[in-house]
Amino acid sequence: MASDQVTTAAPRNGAFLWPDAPAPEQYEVCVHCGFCLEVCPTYQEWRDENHSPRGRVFLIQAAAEGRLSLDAAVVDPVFTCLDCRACESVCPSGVPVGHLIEAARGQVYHADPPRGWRGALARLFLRGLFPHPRRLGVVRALLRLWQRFGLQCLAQRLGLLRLLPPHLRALAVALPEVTARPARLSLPERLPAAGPRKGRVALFTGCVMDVLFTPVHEATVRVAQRHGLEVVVPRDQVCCGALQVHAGDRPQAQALARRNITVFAESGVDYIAVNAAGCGAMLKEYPELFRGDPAWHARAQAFAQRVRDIAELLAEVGTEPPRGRVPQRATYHDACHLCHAQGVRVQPRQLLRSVPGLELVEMPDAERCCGSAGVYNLTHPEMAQTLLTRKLDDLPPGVEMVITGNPGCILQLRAGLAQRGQRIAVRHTVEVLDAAYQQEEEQA
Amino acid sequence: MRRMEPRIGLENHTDRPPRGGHQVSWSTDRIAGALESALGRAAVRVVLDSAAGGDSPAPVAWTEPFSEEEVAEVLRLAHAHRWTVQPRGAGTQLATGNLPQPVQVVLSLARLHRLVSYSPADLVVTVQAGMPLATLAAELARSGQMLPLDPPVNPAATVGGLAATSTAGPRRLLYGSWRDQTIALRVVCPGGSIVRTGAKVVKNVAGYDMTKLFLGSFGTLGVLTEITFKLRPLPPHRATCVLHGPAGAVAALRQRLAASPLIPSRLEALTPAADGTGGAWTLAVDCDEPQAAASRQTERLLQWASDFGLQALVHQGLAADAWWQAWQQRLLAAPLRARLAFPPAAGVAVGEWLRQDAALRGWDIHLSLGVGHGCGWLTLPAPGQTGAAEPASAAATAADSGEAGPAWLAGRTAELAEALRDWRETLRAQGGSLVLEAAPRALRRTIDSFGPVGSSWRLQQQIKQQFDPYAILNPGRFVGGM
Amino acid sequence: MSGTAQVLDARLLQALLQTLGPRRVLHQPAHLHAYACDGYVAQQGLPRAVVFPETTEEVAAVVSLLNQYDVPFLPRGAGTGLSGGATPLHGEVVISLARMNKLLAVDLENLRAVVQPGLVNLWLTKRVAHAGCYYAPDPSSQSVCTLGGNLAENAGGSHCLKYGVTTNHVLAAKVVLPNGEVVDLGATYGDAVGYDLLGLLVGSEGTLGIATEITVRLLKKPEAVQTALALFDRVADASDTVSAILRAGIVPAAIEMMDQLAMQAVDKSHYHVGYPPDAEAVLLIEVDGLAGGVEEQMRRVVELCRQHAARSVQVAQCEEERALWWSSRKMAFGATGRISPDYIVQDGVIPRTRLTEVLQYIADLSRNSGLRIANVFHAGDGNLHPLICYDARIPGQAELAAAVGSQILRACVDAGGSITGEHGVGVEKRAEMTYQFCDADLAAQEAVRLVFNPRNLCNPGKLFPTPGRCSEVRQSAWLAAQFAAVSAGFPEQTRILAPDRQGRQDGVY
Repeated sequence: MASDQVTTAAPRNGAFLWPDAPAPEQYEVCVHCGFCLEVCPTYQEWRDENHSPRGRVFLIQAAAEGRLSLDAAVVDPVFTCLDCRACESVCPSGVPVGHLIEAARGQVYHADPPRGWRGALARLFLRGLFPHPRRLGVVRALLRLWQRFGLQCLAQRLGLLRLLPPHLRALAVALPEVTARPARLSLPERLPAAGPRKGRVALFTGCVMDVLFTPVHEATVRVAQRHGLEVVVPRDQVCCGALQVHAGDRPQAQALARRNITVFAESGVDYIAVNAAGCGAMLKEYPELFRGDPAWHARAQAFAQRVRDIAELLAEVGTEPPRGRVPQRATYHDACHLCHAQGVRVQPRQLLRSVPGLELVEMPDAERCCGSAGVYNLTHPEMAQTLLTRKLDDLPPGVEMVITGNPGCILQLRAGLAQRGQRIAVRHTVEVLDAAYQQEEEQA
Repeated sequence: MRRMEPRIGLENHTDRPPRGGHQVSWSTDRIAGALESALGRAAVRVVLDSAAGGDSPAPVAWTEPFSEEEVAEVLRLAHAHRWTVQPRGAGTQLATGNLPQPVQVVLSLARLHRLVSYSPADLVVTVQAGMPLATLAAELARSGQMLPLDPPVNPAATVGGLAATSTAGPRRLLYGSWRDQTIALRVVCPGGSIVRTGAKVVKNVAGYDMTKLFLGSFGTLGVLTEITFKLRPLPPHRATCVLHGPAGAVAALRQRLAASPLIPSRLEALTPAADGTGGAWTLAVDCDEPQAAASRQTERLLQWASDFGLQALVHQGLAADAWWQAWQQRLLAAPLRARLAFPPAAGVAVGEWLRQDAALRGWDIHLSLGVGHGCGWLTLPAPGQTGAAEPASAAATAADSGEAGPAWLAGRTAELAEALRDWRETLRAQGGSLVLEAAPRALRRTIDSFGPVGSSWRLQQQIKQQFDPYAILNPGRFVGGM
Repeated sequence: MSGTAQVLDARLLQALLQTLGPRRVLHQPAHLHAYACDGYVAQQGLPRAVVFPETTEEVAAVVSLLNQYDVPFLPRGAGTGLSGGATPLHGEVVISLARMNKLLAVDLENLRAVVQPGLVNLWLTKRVAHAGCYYAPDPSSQSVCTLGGNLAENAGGSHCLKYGVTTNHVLAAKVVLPNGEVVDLGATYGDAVGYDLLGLLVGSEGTLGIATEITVRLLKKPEAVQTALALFDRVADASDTVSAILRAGIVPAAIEMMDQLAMQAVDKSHYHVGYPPDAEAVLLIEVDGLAGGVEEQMRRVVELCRQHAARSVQVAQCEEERALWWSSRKMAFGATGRISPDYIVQDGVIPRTRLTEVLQYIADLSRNSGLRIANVFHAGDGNLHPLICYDARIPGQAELAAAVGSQILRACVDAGGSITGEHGVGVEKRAEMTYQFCDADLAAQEAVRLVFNPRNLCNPGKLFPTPGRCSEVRQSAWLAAQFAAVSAGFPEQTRILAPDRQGRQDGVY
């Protein structure tokens, strides 16, 4: 079988004319068994083969082999995909559907760059904003202004929010309170381990995560320190590039990846800790971005090997159960990019079960996507809303808290719950842990 | 719609008479002569037969082929010359089905009674259609196996005849019916073509499942010559738990049993109670599981019986066999027997309703209801009849031929037909049915044995048309007078 | 893909759109490609359109329209069939039943359920599990395949050894006939009056009509289940064990077998069991029933395995272990994708007592053809699933693989068996039908088709042998013979069965 270099050095004939095309050895593995159909959220809703993992892989292969051109037949299904990877979890032959979808989107991005106001908006966010920490700082300041000086309330009262489409309105309301400074800058560059040092870990702060969820970073650092991890927060790190990859903008993602690989290589750490499932999956898949570039591919692999989700990392180094109590009935929602893309399912549950007082009840289909899926809830609001509704319907009766490991899911769930007027908290796994440890200290 | 060409009936013969040409009227003797010259003297004779359709015994050309080829030859000639044919095994099921039109040829499978192949390790057996079920059972028992079909029939009944009428018994609960146990057939179709269906392996989906078409088709599409069954190991342990008591208690126990993990292999609710101990109902429960499990099942049943105040008795081994033998004798002795289908959970309630309605109409009916799977029998014993008697089917064909029906019916034929029709409608409304298995001729003239076919009638007719375009096989016997 | 899409008559399209609305009719060529094939990919074709009816009336209306315009059509469930039964070879309009996925009624008292054809097999079990009930037929694809598809193919599964196949569990159906007429077949209780037309419909591969409401039998979950995993150094010992268990009067719920190559494939997937690389065969044996009896039977089974030189016998200690063993078995087909770019899965059935010799024959075929063949099968039923591995990029290999598959089926028929136990004939095994059936047998089947489907608009070109395909097979048989002659001095079978770490065998690829 061909090695990586051979298959990606030159694009094959067919509809994929640009470098970094979907790899034959990835789609050829599909045996068309269809075991993926019923776990695919879009197939579950529409029951149309076009919008199933098997259908998408089939169409990508047909385009790659020149039997289809890169038109609506391929583009629509490739973009209705949530990239939730549920199909990969059940695929007996191990087809990396996510990679194929992302690579195909890369081809579409080249063939038909987003135009018009949508294109401008996409460029604004994916190229103009997320990759630039300083510009994100400006957004943070504006958001804070909006929140702190009552503008949000005013806007709500004046009905200005109604100018937004409903799904955005809900999201705007659900935005958490933004802190003054990002963790990347507010946290010391180096934080010592409490007690004997078990390892050195760099915190990956991300873009949106560090605007909206700075407290989660702080909680992450505290819990890590407590378990003997020395934490460094590299100042020069940037956005992981996942949103760009989802949108097909691979050149931009590659640029970001190179920067991160370099920055973290310099930090000389044992682990790179991530608390956003989407970022974690992306970082672990950096090698996939450099299939055609042997030198960077090797560096990306070395980098990816050190990436851990925070729950995964804590399980690896070992935790002591907290003594503080979190007396709540809660359920755990598996973020797609944590369970399907990273295979992390057991560790968060183990950590949560160690929290005294926390009654963890399983919800049916906990691994089904909540509809957030990166920016999917912005690009495909109808499907995102359907999935959100199903997810909320599945919440076990009487839960007071939903716990998950990804900022997108947290926002989405909060928006949905707010829309329904349900008073259920949505928390990150590490926040719950941290709360228990904090309480323990207060007791002491 | 394009016109369909009949395919089966017209193949493999050359002396096809011109279509629509003058139909020669053949005398029985001429037919016998023609058959004799084809098959030889030993296979053909002219006899007076009382069951070949007419009200009184009439001469028929009785053929008893020695081989499948000879069966094919008979059907080739019959098809070509439009002789009507009644395939016959042991003649035990002749009272089943609608009254046939008189036939000219009786095609007996009596000489095709060999065991063709038997591989105990494969749990598969192939026999010729004329083999009596009892003979097959004895043969299989020697290897510790069984064909788990236990229709209440005369021991002479052949596998072919039973497969053609698809007569099942209480074991249907656990093992299913003929359609579930039969995996391959050889069938001779009108015109003489020999059709093989299925395969002699337990799983096969090649082509249409033609086996099912011929099972229960009353010999109206073709003549079964060879049948292959899948088998089961003979239960290592036989015990029948017999419980007596009032309807409510029996129904309650049935419900507890249904909700439990117990695995009854027969679950038959009888009313009036089988042995006259005073209770209105009897519930008989078998278990075919290994010894340890079967004993546990019996223990639990006995416990529940005492919970619900039912009298209980356990028959083991040969005693259990004897109990079921007696049960069968009672069923067969009744001159009227109808096969019922009903929702099993409502079995006892349905039974109570039937008994009461019958009593109001002045009939004392007996019921044996498979309350696990929803099939059973309604019987009407002749007044004064007690215990076992001569099997009714033979009697029904000869003695009951008068217009007024047999003496015991006392001229109430129309009334009984009316009752049966009402009961049939009641059962049909619940997804069930009522089919006459044995009845006096007078009654069979008044009421259709099967009842309405429903929306598939066009398909049913066309199937018949395809396989037997000249309607030579068992004319009039099957549903809708096919 | 076979050329371009056939054109859909504009008036017919209008009528379809009017009947179903624009969101339930796919007609633009761009949207049809995904329906070019089902789980069998060797032959493909484009449908004229794909429609998604949601009720019996809509199916009937669509079928009537298609009759009016003389347009062929075929029903499709989840498209997981392995013989191409849902492949539109003649520009058929695909009637997707995937949206007809409701559970219409459940009667737990009487153990009956009424479902729409698009309901997924496993969902039915999930929906009645709370009452301790389940639906017995369990094809490996049960998590995705639909009950309508199961009915059309008369699907089997791992547990049909004891519990039977789909036809034993389907009791009644509302059917849209190929002319649009709606009929009821079968009976909820007891036997239907008249010919057993439901028996014909089940397994008719969508050529006799479209079931739109299906009444099935539910079973109670057995009180106890025990599952054993027995490893064998020799395939023959494993086969003998199967016969010995059945001969001993035990009817396990399932006896499944995988050979060395299949074990390697599944161990590379998510469902890693960790089979020892040098074991030649593994048996998965499950007994169920009442608690006491199950233990008794399992003791006997373990004893019999040991008597037949099992290297090890393990009884599952927890539900997770049992589930993993079963997943490993059920995912085996798909997992073959990890050791070979392409494969053909065959579905022959043989008498159980002839397992050893037929497996030996398959091993010889593998050696002579140079194609690796993994065996995953329902040993208790004698239902073989040889997975013939090949690489379509190597010219001639696809044809060779087809020829080898055909030869295996021939051997199955010669051993007294069948060319297909549960996958169906479809387009794949049309030629091989003549191995099993003679002209008279086939004429009888044709007569049935003429009654139900006289215009042959409903899934044409399936199930019945066609002369064209016969010559194709003969040609590939010739190819296989040539190949066999060339590869006569091929290395030992053991080397073929032991691929290198990438799952490729030197010299094969």
